[in-house]
Amino acid sequence: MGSPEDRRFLELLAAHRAILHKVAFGYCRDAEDRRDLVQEMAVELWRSFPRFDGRVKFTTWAYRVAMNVAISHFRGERRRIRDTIPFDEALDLGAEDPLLDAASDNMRVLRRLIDGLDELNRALILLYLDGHTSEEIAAIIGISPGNVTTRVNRVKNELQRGFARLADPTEATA
Amino acid sequence: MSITLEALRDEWNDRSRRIDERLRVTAQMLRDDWTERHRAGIRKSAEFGPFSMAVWIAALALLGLFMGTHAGEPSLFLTALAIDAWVLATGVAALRQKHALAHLDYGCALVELQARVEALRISRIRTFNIAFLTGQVVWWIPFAVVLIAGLSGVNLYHSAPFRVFAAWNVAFGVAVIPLSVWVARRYGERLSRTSAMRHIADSIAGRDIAAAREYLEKLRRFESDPA
Repeated sequence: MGSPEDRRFLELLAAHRAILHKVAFGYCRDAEDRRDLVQEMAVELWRSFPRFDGRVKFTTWAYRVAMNVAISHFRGERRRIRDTIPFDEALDLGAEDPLLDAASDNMRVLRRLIDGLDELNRALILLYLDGHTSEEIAAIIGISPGNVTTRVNRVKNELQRGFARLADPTEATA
Repeated sequence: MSITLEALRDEWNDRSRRIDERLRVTAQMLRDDWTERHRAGIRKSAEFGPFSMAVWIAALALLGLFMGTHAGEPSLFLTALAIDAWVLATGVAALRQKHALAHLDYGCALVELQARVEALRISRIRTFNIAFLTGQVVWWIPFAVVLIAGLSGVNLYHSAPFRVFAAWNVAFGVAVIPLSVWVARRYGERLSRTSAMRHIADSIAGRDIAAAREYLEKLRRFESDPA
């Protein structure tokens, strides 16, 4: 049996692990890499859990950890721990695959456009799409809510233009 | 295409909801032994782990022993001291990196943590460059002198031809430092056939540090309110 702290962490992880899958989906196209990334995020959450002091909501903190791991992974900075961590059935690593595969054409186009964004703008738009408010996004990313609003609008316009271009290439060049 | 991002946001949320539901069904799969199984994995993946630490301490101890037994021979003592200083400095730098990495708080806001990671990257590249370039000098003639004296008791400095040879080699080793930087900057991309070689060339040429500084600047711009 683990310690009470371990058990508390596992309860929280079980309740919120969809966050890991959603963030990993935003940063990894390849399903196998995505599974590694979810695993790395879960391990980092657990390792950082003693520092979680409740000053922000658990979900805000979990998003921060997951996105920090994803960005570091994306930039090739983080050491890969795949070889030392056993494959994790407990995290249900392939669970989201059928849902992602069943995505509509519009979602696939959106995904392609998101893939073209840099890691910070990607974080912004993923949080926006997940339904977070500017204040919540600001707390996760560490910028002001006004900055979030401005930047989200810019990225939204960029994506909207991308959609138009993909739908009608002549319209975009006209 | 008339679809708006708001409409896609609804579809995205719907998919997120289904992922939540799918994962909730299997929530009981996270067992109590999850943390125990991963504790061992994290220990194994740590940088400068127990094996590296043991090698480092053994090297320092052996060099200390050598200096103790050759205290009366300044040429050997000073040569061993130069190697010892190199081993000590690189080990301390690795330990400081390990400490800083272990204390990175991934629960910080994104721009804050990424800036810390990048600052650490710059520090690590600088340490590698200094260790790699000064290592060219330390791990050739001085190491050979100490090794032979330690194993056979022969002091190579007593041989006049060796002294000349050693002086030229050390001078060459020192000259190689700026030469390596120049070659890496000028021809690094063409000469680097493997990713490891490219990594070393980029590091020596300062391209990695420039890229890290650029990223820090990008984070600062992102943090400041856009006009």
